[in-house]
Amino acid sequence: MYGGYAGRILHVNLSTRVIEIQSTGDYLPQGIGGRGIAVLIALESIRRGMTPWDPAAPLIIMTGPLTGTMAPFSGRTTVCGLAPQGHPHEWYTRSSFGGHFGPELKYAGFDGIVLTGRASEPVYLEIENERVTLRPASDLWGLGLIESQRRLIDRLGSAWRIFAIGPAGENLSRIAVAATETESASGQGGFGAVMGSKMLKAIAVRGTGALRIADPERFETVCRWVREEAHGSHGWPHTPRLDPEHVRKYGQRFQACTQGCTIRCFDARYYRHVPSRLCPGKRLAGQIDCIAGLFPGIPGTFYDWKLGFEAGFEVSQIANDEGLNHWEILVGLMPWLRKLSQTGELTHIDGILIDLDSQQFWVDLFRAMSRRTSETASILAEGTVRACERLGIGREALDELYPCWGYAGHWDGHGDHINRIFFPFWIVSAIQWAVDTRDPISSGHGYVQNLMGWCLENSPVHGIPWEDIIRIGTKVYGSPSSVDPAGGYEGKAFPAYWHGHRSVMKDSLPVDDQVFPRVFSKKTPDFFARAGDLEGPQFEHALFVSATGIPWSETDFDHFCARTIHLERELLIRLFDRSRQDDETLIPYLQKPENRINPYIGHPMSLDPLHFRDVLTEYYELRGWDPATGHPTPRTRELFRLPGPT
Amino acid sequence: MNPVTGRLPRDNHRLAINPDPCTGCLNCMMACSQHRSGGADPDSSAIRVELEPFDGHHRIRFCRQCPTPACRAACRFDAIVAESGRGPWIVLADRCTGCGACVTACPFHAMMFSQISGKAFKCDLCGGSPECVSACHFGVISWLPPGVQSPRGIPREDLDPSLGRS
Repeated sequence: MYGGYAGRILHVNLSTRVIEIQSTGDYLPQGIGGRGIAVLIALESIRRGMTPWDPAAPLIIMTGPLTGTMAPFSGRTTVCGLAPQGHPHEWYTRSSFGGHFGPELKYAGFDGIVLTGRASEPVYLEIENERVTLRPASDLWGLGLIESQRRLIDRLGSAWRIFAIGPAGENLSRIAVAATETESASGQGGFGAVMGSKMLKAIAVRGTGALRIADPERFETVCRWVREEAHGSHGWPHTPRLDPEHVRKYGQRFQACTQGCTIRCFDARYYRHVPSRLCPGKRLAGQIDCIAGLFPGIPGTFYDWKLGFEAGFEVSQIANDEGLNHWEILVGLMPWLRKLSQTGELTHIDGILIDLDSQQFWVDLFRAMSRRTSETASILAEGTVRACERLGIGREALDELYPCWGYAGHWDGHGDHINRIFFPFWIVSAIQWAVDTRDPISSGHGYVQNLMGWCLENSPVHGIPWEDIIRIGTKVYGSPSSVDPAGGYEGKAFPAYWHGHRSVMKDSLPVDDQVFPRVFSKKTPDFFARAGDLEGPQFEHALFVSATGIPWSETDFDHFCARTIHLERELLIRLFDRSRQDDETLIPYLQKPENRINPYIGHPMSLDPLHFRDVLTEYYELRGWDPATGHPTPRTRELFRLPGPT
Repeated sequence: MNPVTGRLPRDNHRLAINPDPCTGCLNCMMACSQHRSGGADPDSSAIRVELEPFDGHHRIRFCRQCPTPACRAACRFDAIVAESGRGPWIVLADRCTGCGACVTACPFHAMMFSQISGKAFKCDLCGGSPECVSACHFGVISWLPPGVQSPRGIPREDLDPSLGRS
């Protein structure tokens, strides 16, 4: 067995209670791990016509070779399967999570878990090294996601790591998460509901084993380089700091959202004692990650509801406990409800006034959605896109917020107003959205987030001039037009192609999406990330090779990434007849004016469909897909040894 | 080590922990285990972070290199000795019988036990350059010269004085 791997994949059939073990070696080296292995399993097991609710549909929870090692930012786990949140089809997709569950699974001796079947009563899966047991969970069913973890930890011990669902997952909400600790969630996709449909409340794991590293000396050296080079937050130049008032008043501190994180993150904060507004005298503890910072509302922005910090924090923790998807709620559902309330299309939900400034409204709505206790709330639990269809209202607002595939806007310059991006950079996001099955920025942050985070428009103190960004961008992408703020459609296909591969790397090793790839740096005189004998974009490959001993060149590694994308495309063609016509679904959404104006252009831009179709064609040609159909060409099938349509 | 008192000299550097800024990244444990075992094996780490994800007060178990350690006093086999006469205290594997008396005796729960070797083990300060110190980017673990006070609380450089005035 190669280094880094635990060597075994656990298959659990919840219907028959049969537990089987497969060698991870069956999928190596070509699968790598995470998303790479998951698609190979999916191709073997997902059949046309299956839905996420089909007991035979697998839920695939995969770590990778770096999970649980000392590789920086590597504690993550990738979840894959048919996604209830997907629209118009329940597309096969992925959603990763952090925390410490994945590493513990590896120490227990497993690289992943494949769940099939449906238990006859609620169960949880207990994994203690070799000992794998399905245990009754009727006493946990109905409890919150956090409370369930507490009960299991009380029962099993504090060293156990738990991956669980809340009431939203139990009640098959399509926006239900599965999560570990207070806020490390497999958020997008609705995979919490897939666990719920299998009557699986939680997976508890404890491992005491070890992972071999193929080349410890080189691996330790590369880890040190990466650790020392990585800085700032999200790969940005700025190192955020804490609010002294929140430190004093609420016990705020930085928190690693995943094992192995070495940066002070803009997003991830822990609060040790925040007063509850709903239960006076009670103090709350928990984490605020990623988009959860929007719960309190931000005055003067698109997200201007007035909960304030304490109420917003409590609402976020209740959303966590109910097991609901933050991105969907904050970027999609709530702005949509606000719009409907303003237009008069929907002013009350089952008798309760829509009031985004009221903490009680949020909490009541969450509980009614996750437990499906009232009619309209139950419809909202289907996700905003399906709720719009079912209720027959709010189409215009939906079209402003949701690009396609059932997911709210994300770094595309239109739907989400939190990410500061302007034309022409969202053209790359548009290509990524077009060919994906969810918001692609889950693992595609690399391009837009890096550029927008490093430019002086968004980071006036810590950023770098466009001349430097263009110099570095030319080195990475081969053309200055790929990063020129005064540019247009030219040069955008290649970054989408290149970052597609980086996305596979990040989901397969896995490593943190926000940090990699390392491109820009404040630690080098020319601002190009490098450390030791490596350039920033080589870090993932160097970690992979030294950990596993798989003697792949960077070209081989890139080939693996491309093959994984082809295999995922192949699966979508088999299951859903995915085509170029589907890929172009998002064009109307982008034809509306962008949210932020590029200062080098001076007026809001919108998508030109003709130009975009040309860029999409350029992308297909780079990818080796037929521009007419969007399917891998025969030459690509041969080159990448694709299984072919069945 | 003083041959009369059995105490370590007072001018040793020491490991100091400020748990407040700990983020639960476990980089210290992973670096220690990588150094000690050549792989990823948290159970071989001589420093332990016990995560408390639901209250945020992670607990860190580490060897204080006590001048007169309870582990040494509990060992009936003279397996715990001061390396080079100056420290740190180390466990001599060929003398350790795995009885576990030292593990029980340590008031800081910093004497570890290997299920693989069946023997006790502890922090040996990596020859004077502790891996956990260089792995920690949050000011939790320090390598301090004699007389220098351990830092407490959130490091001042982590605070943004421009925030929190409203």
